[in-house]
Amino acid sequence: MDQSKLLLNRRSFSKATGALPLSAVALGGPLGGILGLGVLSASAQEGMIEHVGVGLGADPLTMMPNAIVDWTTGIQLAHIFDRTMNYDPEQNYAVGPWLCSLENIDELTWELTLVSPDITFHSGNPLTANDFKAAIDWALDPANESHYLERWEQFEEVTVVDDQTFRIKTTDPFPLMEQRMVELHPIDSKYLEEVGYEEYVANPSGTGPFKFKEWARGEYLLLERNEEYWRNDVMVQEVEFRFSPEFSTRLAALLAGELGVVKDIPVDSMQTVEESGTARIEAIPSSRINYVALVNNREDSVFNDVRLRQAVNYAVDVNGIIEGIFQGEATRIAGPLSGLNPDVNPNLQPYEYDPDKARALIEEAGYAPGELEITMDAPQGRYPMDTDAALAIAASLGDVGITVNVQYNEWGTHLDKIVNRQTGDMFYLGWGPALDAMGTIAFLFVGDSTYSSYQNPEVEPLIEEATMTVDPEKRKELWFQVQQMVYEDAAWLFLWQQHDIYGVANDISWAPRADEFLWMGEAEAR
Amino acid sequence: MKGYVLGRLASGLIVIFLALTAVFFMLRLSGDPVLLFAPMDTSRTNLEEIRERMGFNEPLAVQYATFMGDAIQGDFGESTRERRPAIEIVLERLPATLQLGGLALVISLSVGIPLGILSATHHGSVWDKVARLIAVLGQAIPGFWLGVLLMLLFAVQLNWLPTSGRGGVQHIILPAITLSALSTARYARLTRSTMLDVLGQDYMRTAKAKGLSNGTVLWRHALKNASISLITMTGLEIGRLIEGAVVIEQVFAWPGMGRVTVQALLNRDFAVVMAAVVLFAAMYTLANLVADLTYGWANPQVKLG
Repeated sequence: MDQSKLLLNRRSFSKATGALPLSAVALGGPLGGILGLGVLSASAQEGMIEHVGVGLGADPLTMMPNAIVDWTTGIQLAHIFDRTMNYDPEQNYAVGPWLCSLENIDELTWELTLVSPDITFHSGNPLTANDFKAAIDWALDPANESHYLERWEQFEEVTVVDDQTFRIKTTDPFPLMEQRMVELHPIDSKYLEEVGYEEYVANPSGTGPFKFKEWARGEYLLLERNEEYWRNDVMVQEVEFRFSPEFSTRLAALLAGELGVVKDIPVDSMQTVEESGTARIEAIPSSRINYVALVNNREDSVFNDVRLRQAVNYAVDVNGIIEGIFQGEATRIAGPLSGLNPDVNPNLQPYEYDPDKARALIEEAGYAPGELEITMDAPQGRYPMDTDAALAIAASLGDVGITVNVQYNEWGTHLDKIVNRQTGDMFYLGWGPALDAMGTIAFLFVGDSTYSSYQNPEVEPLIEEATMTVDPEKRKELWFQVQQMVYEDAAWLFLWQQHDIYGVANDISWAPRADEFLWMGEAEAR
Repeated sequence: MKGYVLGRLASGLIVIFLALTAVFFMLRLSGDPVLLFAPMDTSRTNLEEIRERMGFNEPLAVQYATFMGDAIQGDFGESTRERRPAIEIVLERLPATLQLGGLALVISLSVGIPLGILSATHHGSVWDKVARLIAVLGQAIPGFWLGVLLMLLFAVQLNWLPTSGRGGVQHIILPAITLSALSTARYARLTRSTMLDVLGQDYMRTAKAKGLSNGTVLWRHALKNASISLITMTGLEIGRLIEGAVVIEQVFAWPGMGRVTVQALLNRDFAVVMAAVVLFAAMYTLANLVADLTYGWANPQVKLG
């Protein structure tokens, strides 16, 4: 045991105990495991890890893939069930082959081909085209109440061509097919037929890098290495997804050496992790964006006047907030899409910080300084540093004579208010993973869609056209146009893309991904 | 006696019914249960379909009648998120909560009462001051804060115990101590004041004058008389431990009913909250009934019925 480190840790401990309780985790690393709780130990094979704990906030909601859209559920299931296609970090997160490759046959027909004939399920059954058809048919059966029923409603028919090939026919041109194939996980249809649904979800069989071992509800999901994984040699013997609702508990568990990977480390705890001697920080710009809606799809909102929307964009020192509050751990966006989005319009430059211009625009709109008073609804603790960022935005606007009252909401209430159009004239929201233009623009810039704050009769027809255009170049051109228009029209206060900040145990080699795909399939000892 | 117990059980059922009714309407007023469950990129039509399917579109009175009709038969509906019976979700967490609450109660009784006796018998001494200081701290420190502090010290810093979760004996130590802190303090204070009161009574002088040893006087006469208020308090304390478990289970990721209820509340998973309310109310009612029945032992003058 290192004596100097012990002293240092004691000092930081007494400091921490005087601080606020939930940020008081400012502590050093473990000083020896008396009860033998260390979870990581290198095994005989080079690079092999015995056990990795991954801290999550909640249990999976089901063990049946293609049923529920929920990040926590999806990320755990993806380790048991492979995705059909996946975002490829090496191709700037464009969708590429995983289990299958995709080919567009005609406007309404898509063909998928297995990348290898030798992929098997954990049960031993070979993976065939039937298993994809079974998965889609299951999700499209209304009796199963799958979230994917709506997302895949354009799938008219799935036909199996041969063991390695199947086709999806859609009712309309469907440019999102690649993205939808990221969501599709084939199910072991032969095994399902043998054992029935109850047993299938109690003991699921997929083709993924890990096999289901045990699920103790409220405690952990334990998976073990699939020795015959088709993609690569899996170097982790056991993955344990451990559930603790409090972030501070997950952080403490990381610092105590109980967990290997923890997501969403707050900016102000990064130093604690780096100095712990147990873990390090791995951060990556995420595809998730944050913005402030300037409501114009409601008659009584002041932001029906474009000059005020532009004034807000000139008035807020977004770069200053990123430096000051985020310590640089956020990336500015000019328009509604992040740089990770293949359809992002690269010609847009962020609005400059120009308070004088903002004041002039406000005056032009007919308001004296101090006359405007606006409520901004914001969530608390949902997005990185959201509480502080909302206050900083309000302060910037105060400087140009707009009084902003920040109304913090519990998350459920926040959503209620947005959906029922009962927010103040501004509200703070995040959106993601946002790796395709349609998934963001078609939902947030069409006046009456669920979470939209914006309407524009010139923009909507273009969005509709783009969502029906399969030709990638033509579609991109349309998305560029839409982005240009909402940018000039200052539809939002455009803010930033989040950075995903992970705490990772020092003895694990693991890299984060921009698409929030927390993947232990390629982790190894370090 | 039998009539008394039956009467109390009947009034317990009324309590549960009233609790369910109150919580039912409060939950329905708290907001839309569908938004937190459906993906954000969903259409209004789809949200409407989900509400329809789950019966959230019905008038409130109809929803209430349906719920109560099913609840009487033990059916509290399905969790919207997990799609399995709510009562099953709550019941599978019951053992963990009983284990934690039970241990916390044992700790508070076995630490709090001796501490209070020590304080009373050494009235005004250093022992008394130390015991009172502990009691004041125990009442003043919020449970979640104490929990995080203990976690930092014993798990992160010293690595003696795990930070969180359930498993071996070592996992329950920190949450049980944290949960028991407040109760321990209350037992110590109550024991001290009632003992001081009892020790000053005439019959104590009589007992001593009879030549009984100090120990006999203390245990047989003083403590037995002081125990009536301790028993009353235990009935209430069980309720407080359940309440405390809600927070402590969150902090220590203890897989109990409190944690499942908080999460269900945040996710507006109404059926799970309702099932939990029934169990909590039943536990509270039973605990108080048992406390009242125990009076008869402590004070034969108390005639129940």
